[in-house]
Amino acid sequence: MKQALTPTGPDIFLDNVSFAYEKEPVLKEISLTFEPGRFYSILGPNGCGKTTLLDLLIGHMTPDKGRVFLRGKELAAWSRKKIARTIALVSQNYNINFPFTVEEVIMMGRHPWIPRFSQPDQKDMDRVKAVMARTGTDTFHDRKITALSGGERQRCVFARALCQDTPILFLDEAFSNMDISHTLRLLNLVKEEVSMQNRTVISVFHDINLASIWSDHLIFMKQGRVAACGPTDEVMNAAVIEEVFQVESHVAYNEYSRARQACFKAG
Amino acid sequence: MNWIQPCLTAGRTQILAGLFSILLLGLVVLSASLGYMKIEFFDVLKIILARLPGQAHLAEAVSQASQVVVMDVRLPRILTCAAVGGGLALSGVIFQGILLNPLADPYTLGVSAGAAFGACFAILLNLGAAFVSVPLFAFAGACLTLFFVIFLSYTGKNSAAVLSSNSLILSGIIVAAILSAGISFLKYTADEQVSIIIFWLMGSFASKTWLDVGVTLLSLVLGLLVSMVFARDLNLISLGERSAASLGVDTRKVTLMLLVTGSMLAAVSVSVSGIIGFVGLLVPHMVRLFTGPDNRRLIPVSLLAGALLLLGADTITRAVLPHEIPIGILTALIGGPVFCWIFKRGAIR
Repeated sequence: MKQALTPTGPDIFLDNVSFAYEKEPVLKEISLTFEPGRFYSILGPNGCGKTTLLDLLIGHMTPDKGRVFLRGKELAAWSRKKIARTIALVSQNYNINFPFTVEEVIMMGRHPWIPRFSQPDQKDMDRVKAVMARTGTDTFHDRKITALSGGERQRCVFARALCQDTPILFLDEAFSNMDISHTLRLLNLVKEEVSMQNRTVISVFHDINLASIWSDHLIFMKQGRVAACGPTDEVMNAAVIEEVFQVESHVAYNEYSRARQACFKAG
Repeated sequence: MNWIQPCLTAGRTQILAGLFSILLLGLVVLSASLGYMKIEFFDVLKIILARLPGQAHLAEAVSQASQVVVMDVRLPRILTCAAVGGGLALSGVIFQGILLNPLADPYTLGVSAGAAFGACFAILLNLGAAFVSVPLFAFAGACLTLFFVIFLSYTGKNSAAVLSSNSLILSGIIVAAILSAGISFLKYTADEQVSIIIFWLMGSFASKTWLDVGVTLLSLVLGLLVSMVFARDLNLISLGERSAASLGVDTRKVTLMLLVTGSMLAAVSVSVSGIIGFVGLLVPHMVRLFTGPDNRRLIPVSLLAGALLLLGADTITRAVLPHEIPIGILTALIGGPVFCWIFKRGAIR
């Protein structure tokens, strides 16, 4: 993890990026900077381009216009393997049709670090064991992944991403199927990684209040553009929420959660 | 998946592979001793061993007729059959992994329909010596089909989703549907040759030569090499393209390589022996119950199991049954009910 401890400039930098699947642009002239050691959350209505943005940042797609830089080098010049050693992704899709055991699935996170014909060594095993203990997946380590519930499966995929030992972590609605206790447990774990290991986290969230508690920065997106972006305390307000989601809310600092929280009402 | 719990570890997989190898060698010799003309098991062994350098004296006591039957008639058929069985099973493993679907088989992408169309075409036009032209046309038909299917599914901007399982399966279904209409049309226009077409489509290992052995073994070895090199990548791809890409797999490149490999295996098999169903679907399934889904263990064991199974079936139809019935029909008649049983036990869903 030496890499993560030597931040030089921004981790990721988007320069005027536009992208369209077909004719209708999904992302329009987006410029953003992601600094190391921070927790970023991307919020916005369905279909506003959040997942597409993550796909561009990890190199699954290339922008039509503009450029993406990862650690100072243009993303197009990175090999898939190098990217996998730098960015881990917990994706929404965790449909698994083959009965791998939980341990096997989590060990797959070590893939970018294990040479082609090698078996995992002791260090890989130790890493997997440690991550399983921290994510609470060790209690069902020998079960078939196909026999688990959605939330349990999501935790396995989460653990796999942590095993990847990358300085940057993407969470694409990683908590959508988890109960609140596991959500909090994993969010605390991620936060710890951010502050202790100087990892950068970019997370797509639906829950504005959870995002506000854990994020250093919020990025609000609407119709393919960045609607608001900045430190959580500055952009977490009723005006922004109304503009992005067209809902009324009351936003105030909450003593208990030590963060600004939004309240909503019926009607 | 709850009826055979223990997944074998790496060490026990090696034992299983060793056991299957020994069984396969035994079955080859046994099968060569069975048939219209009975030959002693040990005589067969002697005939085969006599071919090793410096061992010619071993076969001196065995009759010339037996030697010819074993070396020129039975062994080519037996070895071709074993290689095709292994090839179909290996192809099945590859397709199930790429298509993220434990129900895929070597023919999912329409390779068999393409081969059948090519073969029908050659038979109908009565092109030259049927021994040469039919397999060649079948192979060409399979390759053209594959490239067209890849061309159809090679769209989309997301590099992790290009050649995605869904678009491949859909393209395969479309192309296969068109081709089977074409085959029906060829049959309709074939008149008296229709029986040749139907017989070819049902599959057979009768009158195979050492050339067939060479071609099928070569493709099998190549297929095994490629699939073992990418076995770990295939594990990741079988869990979804997007997550495989984020774990450092060049999904487009690896999928393409494996797709071509799996299809070539299927194409060679179909062009040598006609359409033999259920081996590619069933064998990886049954083996997965013992080795688990890790392709590094699944691939070698499936290959051996496929060879054993198809050779067993071919030996039954050739030497045990009173009349030889087409191997494609036999595998479907045996494989179908077994598949129903596995399905009902919930091992697939």
